[in-house]
Amino acid sequence: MKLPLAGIRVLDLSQGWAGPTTTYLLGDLGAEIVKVESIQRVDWWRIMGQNPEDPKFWERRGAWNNVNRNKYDVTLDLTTPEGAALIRDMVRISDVFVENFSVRVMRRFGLTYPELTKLNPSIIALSMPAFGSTGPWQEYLGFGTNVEQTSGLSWQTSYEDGYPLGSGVGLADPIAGYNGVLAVLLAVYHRRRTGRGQFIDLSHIEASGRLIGEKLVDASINHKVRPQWGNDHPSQTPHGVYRCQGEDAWVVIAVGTQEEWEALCRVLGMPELASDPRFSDPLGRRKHREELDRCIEEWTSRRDKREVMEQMQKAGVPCGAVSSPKDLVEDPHIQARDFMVSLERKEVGTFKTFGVHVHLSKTPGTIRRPPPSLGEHNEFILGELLGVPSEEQQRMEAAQITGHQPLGLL
Amino acid sequence: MDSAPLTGVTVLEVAQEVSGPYCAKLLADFGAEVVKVEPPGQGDPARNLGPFAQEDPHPEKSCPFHYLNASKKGITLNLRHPAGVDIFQQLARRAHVLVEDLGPGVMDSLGLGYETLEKVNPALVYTSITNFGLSGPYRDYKATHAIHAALAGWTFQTGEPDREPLTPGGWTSHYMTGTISAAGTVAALLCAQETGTGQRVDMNHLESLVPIMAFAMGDYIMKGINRGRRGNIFYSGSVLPAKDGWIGVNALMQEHFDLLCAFLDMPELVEDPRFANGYVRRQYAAELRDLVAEHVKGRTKDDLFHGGQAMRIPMGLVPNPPEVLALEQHHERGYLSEVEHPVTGKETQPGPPFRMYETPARPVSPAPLLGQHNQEVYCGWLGYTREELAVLRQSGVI
Repeated sequence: MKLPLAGIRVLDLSQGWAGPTTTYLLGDLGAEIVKVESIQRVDWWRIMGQNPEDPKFWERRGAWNNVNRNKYDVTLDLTTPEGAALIRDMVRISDVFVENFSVRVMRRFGLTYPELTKLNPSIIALSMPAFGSTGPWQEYLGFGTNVEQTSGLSWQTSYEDGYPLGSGVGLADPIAGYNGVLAVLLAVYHRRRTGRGQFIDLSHIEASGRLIGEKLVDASINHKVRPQWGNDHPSQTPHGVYRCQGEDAWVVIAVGTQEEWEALCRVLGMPELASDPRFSDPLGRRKHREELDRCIEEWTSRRDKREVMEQMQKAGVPCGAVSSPKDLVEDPHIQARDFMVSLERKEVGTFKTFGVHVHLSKTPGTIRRPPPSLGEHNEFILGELLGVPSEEQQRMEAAQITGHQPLGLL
Repeated sequence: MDSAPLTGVTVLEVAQEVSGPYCAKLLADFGAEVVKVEPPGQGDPARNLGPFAQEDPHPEKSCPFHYLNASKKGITLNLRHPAGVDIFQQLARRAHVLVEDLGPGVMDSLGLGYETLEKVNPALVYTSITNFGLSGPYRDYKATHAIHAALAGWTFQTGEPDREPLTPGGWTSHYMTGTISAAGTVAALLCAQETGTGQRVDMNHLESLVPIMAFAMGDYIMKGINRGRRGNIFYSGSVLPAKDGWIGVNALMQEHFDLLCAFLDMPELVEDPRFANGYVRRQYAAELRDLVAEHVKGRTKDDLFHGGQAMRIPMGLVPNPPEVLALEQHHERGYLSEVEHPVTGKETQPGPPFRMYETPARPVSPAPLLGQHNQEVYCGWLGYTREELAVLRQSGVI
């Protein structure tokens, strides 16, 4: 069987994390992704926080390399007449168009959906502006950070009685990215039935707002602001992050049932706790939870976090080590499932990244090419796909309409 | 305009709590007919999850259950009863998709594993959502959102550097897994659309979360930096106290930083070598946060948010749930839907996560009461008589 998106070409103008997450996932599922950048303004996700003193630093950022596999890369200055004409030629031969700018940018380039359909009537256009394509905030600027904040997601991450800290990872971007791939798949499904494309407006704050849906239902009925959970959980005790042996080493323990509670007492070597009337039911455990937490941490702090996890899990207690990036890359379960894969690039050498995470038994996704260098496929895209003669390609490169070196960075 | 893209697709859901039900909810939003199969008596354990409407811990009043199961039909069926297994197979014969999250091997032990149902219906897309996948040493580990987030490396990135790591709030791991599982399911439907052959879609929480570590994992892989939580100085963004609440101040790129200095009247920062570019600002992020905090504390959050955005600085509001319901952008775009639940009355639910202009999402309808659609499904779809239904109910099958 062919991969689900075999034969689908995606023209990808997106930058950063959200749009490129959608497109690497479409690529994993078999689509051909053509990433368009310009040397005047490279994908900013290549360079954010990179040391400009480092050689070829725009090729070497880990976060960028993690979300740009399975893509061709072409550089094209869309503000020039040549660039404007060629991007339109590419629209004509593509099935899907993806961008994640605020609405001003596509208007400026004349690449709004009505303009795209004149070039290609059945195009599927996924637009991912942070706040949506309509409404009073349509031109507002958004990134993973301020979208996470404004959607209501950041508010829910806080120590008990603390202040909002946010997820620590810029969560709104991968959420929008995951929703983007669902959106494109649905539109392709519809197009295969009817032959019709469509416009999809994906507002990041709306996609992220879905992750607090139960809190919005509650707020609409009960009109309350609930206390923050922190590392606690209102219906699970004991529950928390406990110190282990070593520097910055921790485990999470989350006891839900009576059975798990009794198992925990056995692991701690304190079966008497289970029969102590103060702790015999969930309400009692909740009332005395600080005392319980002290008992647990006294035990965990003298042990290695992975040993604690293995011993707890073996006894049936939900427990997980708090993994650092290094722990994650070396995690034995992830290794056993071959989920960390090695890719190789000229500028980077061999490096690890996460593997295909959408598993389909008969059409498993594939990583067919590593992340591309800036303008790596100019000749293939412009020459072979669009038929631009090589002398013209050379002229365009000399005129900096295309190229391989970023101009004026940071 | 056409009907929603999954119109005509029937989905059986044997799932509980958040991730499986959220996956099926997305399919329902985009037109699928989802039949949620609950055990008779107690139903989905999510019915016991608070908060509850009017603070009343009643199985028809759980806010999470209302949200996660809106727009679905609900039936009861005892899959541990031989007659229940037989009825489920009849349903599977006419379904296009099955979504289950009961754990590795559980459906097999019930006689409803993939190999069995594939024979019953070769076109069936069979989506399984587990904690850690169907192989590997953690396969049978118990887990919750807090444990997924810990093992995915996420908790290590969250919280203050001088305190214990902080579990990211909510049920994010479940929602993200549900979302990408819905995508995997539609990908398999695309193949089935072309070939008439279904397949197994095998999704898990851990692998669905690892990609959100693109940042920290990337730093480790490329530079050997094993970094942890940075508290309220995530990169060059922070949540800071404004005069009347929290405000998100973010300056990702140089242009944002330059504009921020102008907006907050901080010319001295532009000249400061500690903040000369994004790379060095990262080393002095805590100092920068404290300096910026002085400049925002006297201004209102709306002034900072709208004033900053007007200058093209990515400022953020930090609303709590009631404040999210009041955001003008949500109201102007019609993001929020009012739903009338038969037991608890009016409630507000967020609309679809994206707008498909040719094939709009279906309007939200309330979550099913336990067994609400038994008669419709068993009599209407499978041809049981009402008398037979009474017998099945009495014998604990439904």
